[in-house]
Amino acid sequence: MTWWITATQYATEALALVLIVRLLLLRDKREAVYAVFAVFLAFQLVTSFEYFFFARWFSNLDYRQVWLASTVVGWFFSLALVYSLAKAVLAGLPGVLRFSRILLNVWFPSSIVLALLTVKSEYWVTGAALNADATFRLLIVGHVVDRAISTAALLVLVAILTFILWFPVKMPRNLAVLSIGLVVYFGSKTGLTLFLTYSAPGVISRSMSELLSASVSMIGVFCFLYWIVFIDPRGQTSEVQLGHSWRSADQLKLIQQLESLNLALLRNSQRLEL
Amino acid sequence: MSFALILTPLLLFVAILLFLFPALARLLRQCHLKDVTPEWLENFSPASYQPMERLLSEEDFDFLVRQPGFEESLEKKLRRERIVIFRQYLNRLISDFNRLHVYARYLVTQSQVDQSELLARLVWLRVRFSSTVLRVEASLLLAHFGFRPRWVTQAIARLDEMNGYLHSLAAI
Repeated sequence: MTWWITATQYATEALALVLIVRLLLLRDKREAVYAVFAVFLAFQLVTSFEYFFFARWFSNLDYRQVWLASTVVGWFFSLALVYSLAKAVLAGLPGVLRFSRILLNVWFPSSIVLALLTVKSEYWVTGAALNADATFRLLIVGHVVDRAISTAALLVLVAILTFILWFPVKMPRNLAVLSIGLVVYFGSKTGLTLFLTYSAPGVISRSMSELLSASVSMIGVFCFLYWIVFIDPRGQTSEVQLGHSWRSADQLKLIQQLESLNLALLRNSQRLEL
Repeated sequence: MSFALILTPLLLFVAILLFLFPALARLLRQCHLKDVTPEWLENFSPASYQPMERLLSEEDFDFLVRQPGFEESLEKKLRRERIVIFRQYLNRLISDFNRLHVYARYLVTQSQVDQSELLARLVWLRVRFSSTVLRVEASLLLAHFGFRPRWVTQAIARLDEMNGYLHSLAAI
């Protein structure tokens, strides 16, 4: 099993690097989300090398503590990425900007609180509380909170995308691609972790932890490939519509229809006034 | 004992959900902007739903009872048919509300001025309309037993309110 775990990790690192380059080539200064995404990926890349680095130079350090510290920093990057993406998506609705900002600023902390509320029960299911090793217990807390942060990110993304879907408007293709990929990424990370925890309660083993890590990396590979293929400079200007399907051939017809609708509404108003 | 205590409200909840499911599905059905045609918008008037208020009124059934040769089966048949017509009106009312709402949402997002306050009112109106429709649906069940459906006037008033918001948006 080890070879494919190693292969997946190498593939993730290589694809993350390609994706960072792709994001830097976008050269779009309007959207801070791409810069945050590049930093998020760079951090993922650094953390995947940290094991080798610490094993080589600081072998006296307990690697679990290093992992824990970098995971905590990773949570902030994940949340920053989701927040900036939500902000960029909502910026496409200038007519309701204040409403959408309030929605985001209320829902974002609420999602984190909701997700963190599930931590305690999951921690008890793992059975780590009975372990005498304090670092091990802390490590499991880190795993469980990591899952909760993914859940919070998923909750924010799903809520914001549902809000956007509610409006018959379009959004830049790159933002749509990024959103869909992140929903899949955080969704599968949450689902897999919960499945592994609850399918074998009280049993936390190294092989299970490796399997989880490899499965998340595998999903990461697919997401990275999806982003590499679909995020491009053209996607900044070309727009797509989630949910309300308009074929591109219908565009002109729709604009004409909207103009006629305005006239019809005015005529209806005049008729009612009479 | 405790099992029954848990199961009874759960079953009741599922039964209510199943009963309200068709109405909920109609309320939540995604309406497309292309469904709003200029012809429809020009001729639309909430007043066209006023007959709903009279469809299941007692006067018609009282009149039928007073007729010579009256049979109870006739009243039942008339009530059944009226309920079918009432439901068709209600479905159309929901569909019209959804069309007006999607168009209003579109206008709100296209506005260069911040319309957050209006959007909040639109969201609240949607909540009130949905709750009114669900109450009408529940009262329609009782209409089978001779009760007059309630909250119809409120449902039409919500549609009228929606129409008013749309006209105020078009004027901006």
